[in-house]
Amino acid sequence: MPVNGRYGDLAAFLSERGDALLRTAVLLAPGRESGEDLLQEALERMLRKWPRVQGDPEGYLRRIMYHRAVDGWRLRSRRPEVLGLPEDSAAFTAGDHSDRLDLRLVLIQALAGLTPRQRAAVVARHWEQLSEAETAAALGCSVSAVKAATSRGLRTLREAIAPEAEYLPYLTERGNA
Amino acid sequence: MTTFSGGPRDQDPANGISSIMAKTVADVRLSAGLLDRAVARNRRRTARNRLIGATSTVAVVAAAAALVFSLPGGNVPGGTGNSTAHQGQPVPKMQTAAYILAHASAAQANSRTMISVTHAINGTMYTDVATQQQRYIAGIRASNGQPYFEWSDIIKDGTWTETMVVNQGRVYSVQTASGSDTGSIGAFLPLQAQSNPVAAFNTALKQGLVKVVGHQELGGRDTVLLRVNRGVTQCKKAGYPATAKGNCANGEPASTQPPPDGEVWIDASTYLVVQTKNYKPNPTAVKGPWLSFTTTVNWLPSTPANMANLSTTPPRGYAKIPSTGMVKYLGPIS
Repeated sequence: MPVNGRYGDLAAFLSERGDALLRTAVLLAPGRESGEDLLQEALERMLRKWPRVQGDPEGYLRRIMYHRAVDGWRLRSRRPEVLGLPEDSAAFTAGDHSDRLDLRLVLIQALAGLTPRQRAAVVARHWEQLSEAETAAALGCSVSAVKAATSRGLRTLREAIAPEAEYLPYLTERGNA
Repeated sequence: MTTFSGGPRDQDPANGISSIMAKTVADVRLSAGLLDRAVARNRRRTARNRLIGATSTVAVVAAAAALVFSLPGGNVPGGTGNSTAHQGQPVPKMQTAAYILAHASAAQANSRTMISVTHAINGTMYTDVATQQQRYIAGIRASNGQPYFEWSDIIKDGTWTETMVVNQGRVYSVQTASGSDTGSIGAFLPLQAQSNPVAAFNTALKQGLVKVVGHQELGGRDTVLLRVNRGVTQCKKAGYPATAKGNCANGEPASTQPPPDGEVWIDASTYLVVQTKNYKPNPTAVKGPWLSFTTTVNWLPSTPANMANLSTTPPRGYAKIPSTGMVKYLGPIS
């Protein structure tokens, strides 16, 4: 267990960066509950080595999350996750295509259909905006493997999201409003 | 097949997916209890490793050892065969492997209806094997002579509740979580959770991890002493144990200096583990590369009176604080 001061630093760090980390975890897991589990496990693992963690803990924590996401951290079975509606779902359901606009659910389900490495590569490249080299370092694989995983992952995502994609402008405009 | 076609700002499919990702997680916020749960799980893991983990591991291997304890008096091919304590005494039955295995298995099965009480220098842990309900009492003392801190975990109706009391600071905290958060507690005896424990024991035997030394009197009790190679190899950098297969956790090759074998004493009549002695890498290496830890184990029936030992009640007058604040009081000893 970390000493008092360092632990306090961790709490302060999480209050500032916890939301961003959880968002990445939700995409990696994928799902809200699974994401919380992934982040919690990554935190627990970091706590084991907390006294030896030097510098910015965010990179260390993210690396743990990516590694765990790829190497099958959730081997134990769990029931399929039912994703809740977004907070502003009432606004969505007021539209003409209310029954088809939960792209959030679509995306989570599509991400779940990817292999762990494809999912991690897509999240790293298109959510975290990491370069191919940075993604390779985070996943512990080669750049060519990142390219292949990203390409295949994106193709699978496109196919899964395509039926809903015509509503994307609507969703994007509402989100930007 | 329908092709992806995003809106004006989403002509690039990848950008479109980035946009959906942003919308998907826009309302995601970190819950306040996440760090608490990670800290609690880490604390339980640490406590378990210190007090129970070694015991549970060797307890299972002890059962495995019973398989090779096939000769009268405890002699075993390849072992030291030191069974002088029983020389000249009648052997009631031929202690075949099957005989020993049956008793070892029964001991493990019976332990599910019992409470284990492990004592080590760090403190005392009560564990109800069946429910994994636990109570830990620190060995270190507060200024008023009471245990510095104690905590208990109760799992009831799918809810995990941990109550921690720090006598030194006269504070306590209570936190709860869904039952799923208790998954890491695991079984007290790891191999007991295997679908075929006997096969797992046999595997451990084939790996040569156990030697049966023979009978030894321990506190007036007839026990069987085992030596257990836990498959840990010292690494060049202190504090980095490695598996027997290869590299250290930090990627460096393991050194050739093996740790001393762990020792396990099992009761000669009940086959339950009663004491263990294990070694862990010394982070400072001031007193050598290994530190020894001795843990004694007592077994109690799960009577209401004994189950009462598993509860922690905050004394009157103590202040209730958030669990995150506990570190302020535990920091000096954590």
